[in-house]
Amino acid sequence: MKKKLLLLLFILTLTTSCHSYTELSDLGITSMLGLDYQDNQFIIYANIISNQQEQTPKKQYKTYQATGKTIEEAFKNIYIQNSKKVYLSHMDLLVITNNLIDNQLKALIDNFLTNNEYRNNFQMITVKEDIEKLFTSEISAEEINKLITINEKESATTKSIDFETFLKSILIDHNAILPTIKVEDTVKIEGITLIKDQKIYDTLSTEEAILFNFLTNKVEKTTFQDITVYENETIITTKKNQVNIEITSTIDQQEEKYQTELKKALLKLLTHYQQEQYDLLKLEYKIYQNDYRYYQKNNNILSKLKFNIDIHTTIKENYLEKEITYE
Amino acid sequence: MNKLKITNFELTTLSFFLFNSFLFTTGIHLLVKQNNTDSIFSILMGIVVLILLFHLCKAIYHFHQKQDILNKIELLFPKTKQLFYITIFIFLFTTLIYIIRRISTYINYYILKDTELIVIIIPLLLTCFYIGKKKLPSITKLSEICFYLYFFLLLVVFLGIFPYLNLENIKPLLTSSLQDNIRSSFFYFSSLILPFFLIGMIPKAEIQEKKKYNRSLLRSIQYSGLICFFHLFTTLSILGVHLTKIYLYPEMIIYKKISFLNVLERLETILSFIQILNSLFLILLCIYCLNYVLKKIIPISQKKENISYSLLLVLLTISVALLTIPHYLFLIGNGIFFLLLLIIRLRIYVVQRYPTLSKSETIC
Repeated sequence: MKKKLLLLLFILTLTTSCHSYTELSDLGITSMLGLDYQDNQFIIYANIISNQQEQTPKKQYKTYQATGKTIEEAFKNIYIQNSKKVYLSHMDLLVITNNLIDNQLKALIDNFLTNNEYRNNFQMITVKEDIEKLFTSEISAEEINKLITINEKESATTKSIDFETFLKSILIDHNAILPTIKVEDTVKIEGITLIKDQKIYDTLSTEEAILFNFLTNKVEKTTFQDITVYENETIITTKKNQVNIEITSTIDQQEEKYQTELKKALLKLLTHYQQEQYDLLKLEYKIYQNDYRYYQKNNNILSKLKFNIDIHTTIKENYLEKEITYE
Repeated sequence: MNKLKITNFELTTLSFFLFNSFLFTTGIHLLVKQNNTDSIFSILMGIVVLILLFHLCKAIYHFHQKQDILNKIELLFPKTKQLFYITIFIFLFTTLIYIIRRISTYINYYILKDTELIVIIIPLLLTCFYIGKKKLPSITKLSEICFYLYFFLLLVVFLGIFPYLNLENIKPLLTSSLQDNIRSSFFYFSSLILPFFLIGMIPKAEIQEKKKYNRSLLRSIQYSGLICFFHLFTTLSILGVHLTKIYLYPEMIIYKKISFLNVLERLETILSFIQILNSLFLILLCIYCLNYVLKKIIPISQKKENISYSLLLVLLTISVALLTIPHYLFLIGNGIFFLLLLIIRLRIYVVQRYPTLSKSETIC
């Protein structure tokens, strides 16, 4: 019995969780992380939530900046200025620059894959320049995320992408998209950045981003050539090299104009990127999934694709007389 | 009914956990690496092969029902028994190092990130050795308790991941060659040979309803196959092939997604217990068997038994802390156990078919 008690006590001493514990106040909970690559150096910006006592009504975050030859080294250099453990499990937003995408996208992905502290659900955006300005301004990750989601829902001018979706896209064909912002007096939406072979390839303007969202069934509400779209559903089906795109929209006026103009614009966008050999909608992968035999027998499927677009519209009902005359 | 006997349900739960160990020792990502989305069929093929192996082992379990597999070896191979025991000891020890190292690293990576590996290994081994020292009914009763806990956790996982299921990710199906399918199902099958040997450590006579013995074991193979299928199917349909391939435990990435009404979140640490349970009973029975084999190799008096047991613990702790066994060695170990089972089965066949040629019946 004594031996059992001794054994139990010994095990208990090892399972108290006292070993290498961290106080909550010692954690630097990072909500927004920025990564840039300049002159062969990684530059890290970390927005760390301040302690309650340190809080002022204006600012809740403290920004730290550090450089290093690797991402790990840059993280270590943050500790020179910061006494808290950088804790990334609650990260909401990752901001990366075009420079980083062009030069070190693989290093970024590797770091995020090997470090288990991250969760895969944080949002990702790109910023063309002025990443430093973004982090010195008082904008929080929550505000930027809201900006993206509101624009995605209300105008379809952008698309929110989380790390897992980004990673999946990169793994499928080395291509991916990321929402882009611009920092002026305030933060503004700047369309969508296209990544090809792990390098910046092109940018979709806000108008093109709306079309892209039409194709990816992400339009909830938007305006297309002064026509308001209240609801939309897009279904893409493939049969061999035939890509059938069926769009059903609820709009406010001009059904015919909407159908012809939208079809024209969508075809223009699709054929442009088809000629450029950029698989905007990952259609090759869709064909691989839906028609594996056709995929095996054919090379360069993207250039063989033929698009058929059908647009159906309904006018949104309202409770007004159909013809109102103002006298 | 004898309370000291093992109930059929306890036997089912214990063997269920043993066969579930595939999810931890090999993992679904290796299957997907081999066979992409068709790995779903590999599991089904693997279950069929496992059932065939069970029918091969049935005769071993039925032979001299009061004896465990080590005593059966003694009866069947009186002259070469030591060679058998030493082989079993070496490969059980290697397997144990592999599993304990893997589980400690798993705990270190996902749960106790800043804790030293040795601090995880020591309490884990002490606990396992304490349970392993108990008699078989204690281990089987523990497996029954854990079974309910396991299904509760699995239910939480299922409810939590349901909104994320996307069947498009399973496509395309039936794209792999027969060779790839066989190779992939081989991974499933070859990781689960050791459980057949370890089940042999439970003499059939110890089971309450001997008539239902076969049914209990068959059920456990089917249930664990279903659970592996469930894990593979959900992981593939949520993460897709590409992401499943790059993570060692893609299930953990799925657990991280689980959230109930944005209130119950970050449950992955609790849910990671599923994987710990998947490997725990394999470790327990390996330790139980290892201790038994050691006693067979070096006959020790009961007083000195604790000393040898402690020495085994120290030896294993040092080995786990210093050595890393690659996965292929684990598979080789399983291959050796397959050969052992095959030799025992053949010997039983010879003994039963030609009783006059064999002297073994005199020993019985």
